[in-house]
Amino acid sequence: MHLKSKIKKIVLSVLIVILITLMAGGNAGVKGIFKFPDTVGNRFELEIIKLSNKGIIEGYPDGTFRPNAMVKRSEIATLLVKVKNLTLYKPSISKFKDVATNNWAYGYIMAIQKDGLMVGYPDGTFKPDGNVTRAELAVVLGRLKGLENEASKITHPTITAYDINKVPSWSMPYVDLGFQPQYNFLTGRAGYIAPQENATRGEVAYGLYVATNPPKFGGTLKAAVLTNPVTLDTQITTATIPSTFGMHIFETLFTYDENGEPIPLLVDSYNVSNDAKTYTFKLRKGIKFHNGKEMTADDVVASISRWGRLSTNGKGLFSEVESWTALDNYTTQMILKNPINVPAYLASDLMVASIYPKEVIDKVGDTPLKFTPEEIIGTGPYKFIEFVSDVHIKLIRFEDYSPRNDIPNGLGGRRTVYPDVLLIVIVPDRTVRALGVITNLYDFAEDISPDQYGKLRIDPNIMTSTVLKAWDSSIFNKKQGIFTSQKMRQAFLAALDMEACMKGAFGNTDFWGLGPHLMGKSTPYYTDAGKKWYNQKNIERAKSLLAEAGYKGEPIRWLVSSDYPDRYNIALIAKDQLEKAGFVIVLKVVDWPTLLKTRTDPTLWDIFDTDFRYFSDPVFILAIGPNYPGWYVSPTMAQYLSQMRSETDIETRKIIWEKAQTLFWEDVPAIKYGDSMILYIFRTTLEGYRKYSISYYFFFNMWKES
Amino acid sequence: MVDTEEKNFFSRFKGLKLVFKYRSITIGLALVTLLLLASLLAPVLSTHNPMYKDPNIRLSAPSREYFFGTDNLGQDVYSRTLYGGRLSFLTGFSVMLISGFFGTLLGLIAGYYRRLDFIIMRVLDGFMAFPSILLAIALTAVLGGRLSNVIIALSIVYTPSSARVIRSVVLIIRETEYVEASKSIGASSLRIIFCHILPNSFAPIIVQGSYIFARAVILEAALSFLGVGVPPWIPTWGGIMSSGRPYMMVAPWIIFFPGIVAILAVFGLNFFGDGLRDFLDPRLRGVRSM
Amino acid sequence: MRQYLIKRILALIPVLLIVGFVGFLLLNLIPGDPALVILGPEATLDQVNKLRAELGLNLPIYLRLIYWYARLFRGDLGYSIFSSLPVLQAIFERLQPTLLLTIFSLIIASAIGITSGIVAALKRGTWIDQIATGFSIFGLSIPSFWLSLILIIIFGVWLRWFPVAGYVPLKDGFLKTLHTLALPSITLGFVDSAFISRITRSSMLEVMSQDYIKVARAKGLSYRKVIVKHALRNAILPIITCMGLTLGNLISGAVVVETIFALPGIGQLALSSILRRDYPLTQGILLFTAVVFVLVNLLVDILYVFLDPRIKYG
Repeated sequence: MHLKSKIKKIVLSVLIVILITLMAGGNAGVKGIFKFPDTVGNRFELEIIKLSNKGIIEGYPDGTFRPNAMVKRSEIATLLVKVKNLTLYKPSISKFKDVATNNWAYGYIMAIQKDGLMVGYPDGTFKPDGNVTRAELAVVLGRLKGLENEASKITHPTITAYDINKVPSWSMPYVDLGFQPQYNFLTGRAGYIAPQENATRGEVAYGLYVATNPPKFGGTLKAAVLTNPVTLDTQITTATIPSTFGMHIFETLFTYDENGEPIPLLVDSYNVSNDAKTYTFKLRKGIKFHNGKEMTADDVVASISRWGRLSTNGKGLFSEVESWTALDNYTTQMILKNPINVPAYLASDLMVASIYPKEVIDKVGDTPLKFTPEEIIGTGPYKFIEFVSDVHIKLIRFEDYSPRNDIPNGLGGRRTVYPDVLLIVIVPDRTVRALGVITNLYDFAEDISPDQYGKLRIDPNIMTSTVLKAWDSSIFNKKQGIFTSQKMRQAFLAALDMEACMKGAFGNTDFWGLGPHLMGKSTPYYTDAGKKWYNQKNIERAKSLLAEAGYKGEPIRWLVSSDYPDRYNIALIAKDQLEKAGFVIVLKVVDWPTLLKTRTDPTLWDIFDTDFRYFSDPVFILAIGPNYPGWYVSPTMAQYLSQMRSETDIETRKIIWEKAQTLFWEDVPAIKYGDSMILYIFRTTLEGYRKYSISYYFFFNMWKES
Repeated sequence: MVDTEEKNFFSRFKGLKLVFKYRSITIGLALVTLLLLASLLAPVLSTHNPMYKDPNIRLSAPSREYFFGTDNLGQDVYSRTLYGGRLSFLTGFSVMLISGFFGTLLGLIAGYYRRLDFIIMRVLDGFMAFPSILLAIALTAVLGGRLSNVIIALSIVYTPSSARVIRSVVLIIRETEYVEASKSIGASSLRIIFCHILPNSFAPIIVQGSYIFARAVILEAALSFLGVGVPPWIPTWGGIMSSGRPYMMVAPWIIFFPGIVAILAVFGLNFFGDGLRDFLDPRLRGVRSM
Repeated sequence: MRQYLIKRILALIPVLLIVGFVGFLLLNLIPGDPALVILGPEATLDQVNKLRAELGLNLPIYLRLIYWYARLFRGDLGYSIFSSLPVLQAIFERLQPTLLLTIFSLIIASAIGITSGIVAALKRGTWIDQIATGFSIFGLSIPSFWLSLILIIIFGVWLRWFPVAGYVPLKDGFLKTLHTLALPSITLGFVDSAFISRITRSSMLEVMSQDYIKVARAKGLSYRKVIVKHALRNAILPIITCMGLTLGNLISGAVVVETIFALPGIGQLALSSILRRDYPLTQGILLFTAVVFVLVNLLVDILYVFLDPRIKYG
């Protein structure tokens, strides 16, 4: 009797929980549905979706949106009518010569003419089938917002852009207003206003949406990240989280525009001598540090010198620097031994050449900055308040921030921060990060599992963003041990099935890619040189190479970190493949600090895993340098790299790089498995600017919906 | 008149049949044996090679082919759970034996030799004041994350509590009359310990052992789950659950099923231990009241 | 009595010394270097050595131990390597979540445990007893991380009754704090209720079989009066011991739960400081928790003396 009831109890509870599990499990693998297949990843995707949800803008019958298509003037008339909820107006006589009363858009065009939104051309035409130009869009949106009064007060532009002089005077006030932070209804095209160019559907959608839902200052933006930053000293750290957030606190002389090219940030202007060995930088004036002091050349010289001593990038540059001095309070000069593209180094978003106050540098020397507001002082739009380890980093808006006047252009141009507080919340658990955004605890989370993509894509409150992150790699110990032999390394490479490795670790094929390239597709250095060595899947060849190398079954010590599951998953799959070829592999799992320590000792390991960010320039790639653990010493590679450093012509550099990449695959100092993407998620309440060339996220020119 | 008839160790077994009258002992033992057998018979009962990875079927829900679903590398969770049983039971058993052995040793010494008692107890108190999970984490970090090291670490964690229990039993038995009688006829300490004290301590040792077995299985699972125990590709129950943690929302079966199995095993052990204690306790009182 | 107290307090000292020593030894045996962690993989040997010297890590180990003890006797636990805060301050900043979690868990554990233990004892041998006992053993058998995850899935994601993670400090509202601590407290409370339930049951059984209970019943006292006035009061002692032990152990249990629910408490700080090789902070936490554990046990023993006139100490 007692027995029965006990068993009943156990069985019942197990059944209930199984039921629950199956319900949860049943939801996995649902294919994502999204409104427009061709807006995924588009910079205006959020606004397009929101505008379309309001019924104002629609896609085409085939389900696409065509965000880059042009907009006819008649079409924008209909959009305006819908936005402003005007009644159609169909007077018996048309006001426009070229708009007949039976024109499909007649009622719309007349309505907006009556409302004063669009008045047509001086010659009495409307040109309904003409495309709306960006200048026209500015005017229309300005009128939509009722900014005629403000516009009349503007005589000169307050903004700058590369083509500011090409803006027609009739549209100039509205263009100016459109780029001001409180209105923000216009976006640039890589620093150009392009007033005579046709506006795209995406730009129109964005403009209409923001014109009617203006940006709001205030609130707290909560961003959930993976780990504690170990330091916020962006000059030293090679970790992404501190570097990314650090760039909201500190600024650099140069930064990246929408195309990934360096443009001035703290520098006002600069010139390069004819022999390309002397750079003279004129700094912007009136830039305040968070402690109220003005930034001068002394601060810049001290900061860049420190960066040159402590960061790998910096050391690379400074090995060619002959002198770096302040000429006067706002001018600095760098004289090089050989020509080098200095702005590219100074713009880097990793191992950042941040500008600190000279007093701070004098005080801390080469020791990393500590987490106190006395040491973390920059010129950026956010100010450091506190760091509570494992909990959060708190930044608040710096009221005396001096933004640039040029239109937002990637990370360059005017940087406006709308939320009062930027709270970086540390949430190590991937699932909890995602759940936090789903349940509105956080506004943003990085590094979400690709396996959740399906569910997240269809959540109406969440926007996803997939960005190329890095290439996954294993590094051989080339100083000591079994992989000093090139044949061994080639054997290893031959046995690998890259596709299986990547698929096993990352799953969803949207989130990883294959290919021998070490530079990203968006750079001019993208090449498939070396492809015959990549993804050979050739166990037989591996076996014969092993035999040639004289491998006798010595165990290979593979170091993996317990903190990064993606990497050791790759290792697990690769291990099976390699063992088929006859390798004997011993996986050693350790935590991150132990890994760092062990890696410095060449007697303790043969291979370890890591991943490498995609950089903007091949000379930044760590794996092919002699100092990175792995100790790759190759005179040929060193020669290629130094040629690249001094060469500024892109075509020549491409040729050199192709040779270098081929050498990489023949010599195999490291393995590349494939590319992995990183999934970020935002709540749809986070609106604003979203065009960065680099793979990390920034919160400039973004605001929380009111 | 003092009854000096000594109840020796084996007189206990006459009552063995009575043992199985205790439901908890039966059920507990049955559950544990069932799971133990299942894991020992893993090569027979499993449906797939537990280490075979097929990326194409990763994270699939439970089905007729994969009873417990597959994990993120496409491995069969059911087969891994079966094999995992071996490792988890091995862990629990080894920890039980090792900590039981050293705990008993220390407890005997501390209980019998007054002078050493103080020192030993203070040291053990010190160890017990450490939060057990932190101690386990620190020890594993020092020794390295392999199953053998986890077993050593856990044994160190649980030795003090064994020692404590044994010591208190020893203290009681030491005062009994037949021990005094043995002393008076000049029996050596060693003989007293081995022939009188130890046999009467077996009961609490076994009971305590079953609890330690249970707690070791759970603690090992917790360590693996936190990422500081065995590497996650080694299929202990905790290791399997740990590998499923990032996929909790899309594939909860990876955590769910090994968890249920672990709970059942530990439940069985605890149940068995309880029953055993109930069974043995009156007997123990019997010794005391002589 | 005073003598006993003094003896007990003096016995604390060797315990703490040992905890300090073992902790120090263990931590310094763990491979890994906090300086490397701070500086990252591209640091040069020079930079690392410089930072190590600054952090005082280059001294021989026995010297460091002596310095640490010396500072300890002055009440100075040193500075955390990572946050540069004094260790004691870092610990106190994280005390709130753990303390509250401990209290709530204890309340839940006691409520469930004592009730089910009494019920089981009173209805001994019936199916109610079996279920209650089985239930409590079940509680003992559940890994806390597993239960946490199940609760998160059910109550955090599906029902959205509670937040899936995170902590709201008291200053932002007691109810909100309660809301964030609900699931973690239920997890720990359920697991610990098992211990308390069992002790309550066996203690009640033992007391109820005593003669004076039978006498009370014979005298004609109502069942309820007998239970509450006599049985419970006498059974309470082991229960309190158990609660005390549970309190001391909750810091341990908190490590897993705090990590899963992202509660910024001491348990989670301990784990992350070990993983970062923040030696001073880890040692400080170990010492702190040991002190708490020992003090709680002492308090329980003292309570015993007051509550049980039968116990005499000399």
